[in-house]
This record gives sequence, C-alpha cells and structure tokens, in this order.
Amino acid sequence: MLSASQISYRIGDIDVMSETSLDIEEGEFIAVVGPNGAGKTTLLSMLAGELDPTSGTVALRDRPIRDVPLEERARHRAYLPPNPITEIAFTVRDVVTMGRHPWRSQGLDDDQMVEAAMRAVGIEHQADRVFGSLSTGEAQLAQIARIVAQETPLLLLDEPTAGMDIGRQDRTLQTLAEWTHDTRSVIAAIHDLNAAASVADRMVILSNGSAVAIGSPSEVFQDDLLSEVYAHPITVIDHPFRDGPLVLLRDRT
Amino acid sequence: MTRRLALLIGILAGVSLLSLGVGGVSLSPNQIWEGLLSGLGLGSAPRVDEAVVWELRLPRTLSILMVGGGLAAAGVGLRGVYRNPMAEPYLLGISSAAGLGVVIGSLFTPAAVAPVAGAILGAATGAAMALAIQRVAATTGVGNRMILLGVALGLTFLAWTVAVVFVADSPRLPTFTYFIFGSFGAVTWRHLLVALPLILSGVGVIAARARSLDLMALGDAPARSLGVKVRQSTIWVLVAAGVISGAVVAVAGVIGFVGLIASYAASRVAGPRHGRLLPAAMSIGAIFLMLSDIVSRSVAGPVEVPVGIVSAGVGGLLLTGLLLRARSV
Repeated sequence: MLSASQISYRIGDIDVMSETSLDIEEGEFIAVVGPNGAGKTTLLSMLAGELDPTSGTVALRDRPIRDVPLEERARHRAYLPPNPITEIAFTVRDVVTMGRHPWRSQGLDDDQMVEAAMRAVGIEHQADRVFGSLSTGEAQLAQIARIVAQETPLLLLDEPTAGMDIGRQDRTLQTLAEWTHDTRSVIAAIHDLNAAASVADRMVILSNGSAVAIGSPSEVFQDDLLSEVYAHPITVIDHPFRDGPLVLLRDRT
Repeated sequence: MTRRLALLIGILAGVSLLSLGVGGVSLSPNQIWEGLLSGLGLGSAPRVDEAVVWELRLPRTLSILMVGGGLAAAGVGLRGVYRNPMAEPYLLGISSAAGLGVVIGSLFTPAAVAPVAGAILGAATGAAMALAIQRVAATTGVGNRMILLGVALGLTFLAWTVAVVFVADSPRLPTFTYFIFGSFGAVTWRHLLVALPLILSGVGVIAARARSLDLMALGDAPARSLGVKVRQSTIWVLVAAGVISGAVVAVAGVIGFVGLIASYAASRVAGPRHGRLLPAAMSIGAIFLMLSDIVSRSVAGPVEVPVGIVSAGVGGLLLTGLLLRARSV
C-alpha cells in the first residue's frame, strides 16, 4: 500500500533519518516507537508525502508519492501531524467535516460519515462546541474523528493519543485497531510502549534516525535492546491479562 | 446569517446616505435624490446641489465604500493565512510600504499618468511587501513577533514616505498629513476608477480562496494533507491583500486598523467561515470608515481631521485589547 525504500533525511551534516525501509501492508497496525529525537516525526511526515526525503523514495501504491497530486493523496492517506493547532474558532462538527474535503470534488461530502466518525471516537456529544474550547485530550479526539471522516485506506498518526488520559488512550487505540481489520492500515508514533504493544501488529523501534528493530511486539521488545535505546534499565515480562509483552522500568543503578 | 448580512447592508445604505448629505453644504435625502437624478439628465435640481452630489459627495462616498470594503477584505485574507486576528495591512507594514510606492509612482511620472502610475506602483509595492512578510513569518512564526516586525517595517517605510513627501513638496501629492493619516478630502472620480479594478480583483481572489482559508485554520500541514494547495493559496491571498492595500493608499493615503476592526467584528457576527466572514467584514469595514469620515468632516467645522486618526483612535484600543488577551509572543 505504502512503501519507503532507503529513505534518508539530512539537515546539514546531521542524519535525522538514515536509509530506512518500510512496507505498510493492508490491514496492519504499525506502531513507531523510540526516544525523543529518534526521528518518529520525520519518518511519518516523509511517509505522508509532507516532507521530501533527501534520498530514497516513498511509493503510494507503486507510484512515487511526490508525483501524486495533493487531492488524490488525500483520498489515499490521512495524516495527523504532531501538536496540531488548538485555537480554532470552528465547531467540532465543522472541523470533522473538513475531513471530507478531499471527496467534495467527487460529490461524496456526506454528513453521515461525519456523524459516524464522531460517534466512532466518542466525541459526538461535543459536536457543537467550539473546537478551541476543548481540553487537550478532547481536541486530539476531535482531530482523530476528522482523520477517520477522511475515509482513507491508510492513516498516519503522529502521537494520536497525546494529552489523553490512560483510559481514553486505550479506548482510542482499540477503536483504531478494530478499524484496521477491515483492510485499512494505521501507522502511528506512540510514546507509551505498553499502549503501543497492545494494538500493534508490527512495531518499528527507532533510535538515532534508524530502525533498529522491526517486528511483532514480542519479537522486538527485548530487555537489552530497549534498555540501550532508552538509556534506562528495562525488563519485559508477559502481560498478565493480555497477549503480548509488558514493559517495566527498573531503577537506575 | 443571511439576515445579519442583510441588516449590515441596510445599515451601510443608511450610513452612505448620511455620508452623501453631510459636509460644508448639508443636503437632505430628497436633495441628494434630486441631485443624483439631475446629473443623469432626469430632473432639474439646482446646479449647486447637482455639482455637490456628483463632483464631491458621490466620489467620496463611493471611495469610502471601496476603501473600507477593500481594507476589510485584505484583513480577512491576512487573518486567514496567518491565523492571527492582528494580521492586517497596516500592522504588517503593507500599507506603509505601498505608501512609498504610491508617492514614488506619482512623483516621478508625467502628470497625466501620475494617479495611474501611483496606484499601480503602490499595488506592486504592497504585494512585494506582503510576500516579504511571508519570508519573515517563516522565521518568526505567525504570532506576535511577526506583527511586531510588520509594525517596525511599517514605521520605517512611513518615515521614508514622509521624507519624500516633505522634501518633494509637490502639488501632485496631497499634503503629507492627509497622506500619512489618510483622508478622502481630495478624492476624484479618476482616483476611484483607477483603484476600483485593482481592489475588485483582489477581493475576487480572496473570495475564491475562502474555502482553502477555512481548512488552513487547522494549520498549514493538516490543510495540505487534506489536499489544499496551501502554498499557492497563501501567495495568491498575500498578493491580493497587497494589491488592495496599494490601490487603497493611492486613493486615500495610509489608513490603519480598518482591516483589524472589520475582520474582528465580522468574526463575532458571522463566525469563522471565510465565505461568510468576507461579505460581513466588507460591510462592517465600509460602515466603520463611513462613520469615521463623517466624524472627521464634522467634528472641527470646516477643517477636516484626517480620517485615519479617527480609525486609529478606535483601532488602537482594539489592538490593545487583543494584545492583553493574547497568550504568547
């Protein structure tokens, strides 16, 4: 669906991202994790076609994404950038409706999808509120509703659950995960390793601009790898209630 | 919403009638009507009334309508592009830059083409300044620092403009107080007709980008990811706002704050959608400037106070309020 081959991004002498390759398959949820400054945002914005790699190519259904016109791109992938603007005078419903913009030229700007998207993420009771008056977590939820309303086969989300409480984070990620199973794909940068592991089919661990591990959560979550990447002692155990690993922090000695 | 817009247009019509009537010779609505008809060869009003209506009042009132609406449209465009209610032609230095262009264009061309050259060079300088601000915004962001830089550049251009007007002391230019603070005292049909196409096309461009501006409220990156040609829309709207500002300065000098006041008030009345914001702001801008001009004509008897002083008196207060409420620099 979307594939990156050997993409790098350099600013001056600094390699923000070096020769990373990744194929996103239909119906999979990929979580991108890694410490601050590892290159998660750079990777996602290159995959979204918002940032041109200095070398390598990103292909959307076998076409270089930079050759795909903006509006057509917007019907294939939705992108949530990090730290979205919160001071918006439009209502939540207006903002979610903007997600339908790429379909207007096709005459598919229906309201039903907008309402369904708000219900799916659980923000419908705030539909008539001014977006700028929402709390951080609610605003993020409304942004996700906008992304859902865009109805694209691929969602690229940069910290979609930033500012949400743990319960809402879990529900939101589960909703997105359920969504992927009908042929949609999600790739999301997520800080919380356990939250990421609970929904991801595959994980990408980024460190200093390269993917140091790609695989299922239980494959890539290894004590020594995570401890080195995060420069902090970490132990991984089996999750007592869910399938998959559980990451625990130890004290620094 | 359409009712609110209808109300605004009704108020505008009333204020325009007042503007036609007020002045050295005061005219009743009836006299204005007779004068208008008589000018079209459809009546026999006294020659004085006809002359006052057609030669003095009509070009003045129509210019105010055009200038107020134009500055408001430029304000809506700039506010939309920069997501900042303080972004407007005067505070971003665009009007002052255009002022320098108008002065140079009118002074250094043959008298016959001076008004046209002034308007065109003013529009070009205004557009260039708007694009320069876009470069500035790339480093300062679109918040208060950008506004401060615009004010700094604006004051610099204003100083140069004053210097040129003062040194040249040419009869081709209105006195510098009127030029620097804005006035409709010397407006003629010719000024009006030169500026009208420039302003109309600027307004047309901003109206055509209204939907893109709506989506750009989400931020440039989200709007682009939704298929909006953000860079293209930004440049078109900036050039349109610059051209409008230049044409306006050529008619009436540098009038500050109209874009700020109109777009702020309109966002209160019409909400955030630019397609609705634009006509509401244009009506409010014209109403506000019409009232300012009536005050400027009547407050000191036969002497006219420059209209920009009246608008700055109100606009300065609004800016103060916005700055006190702003969260970050």
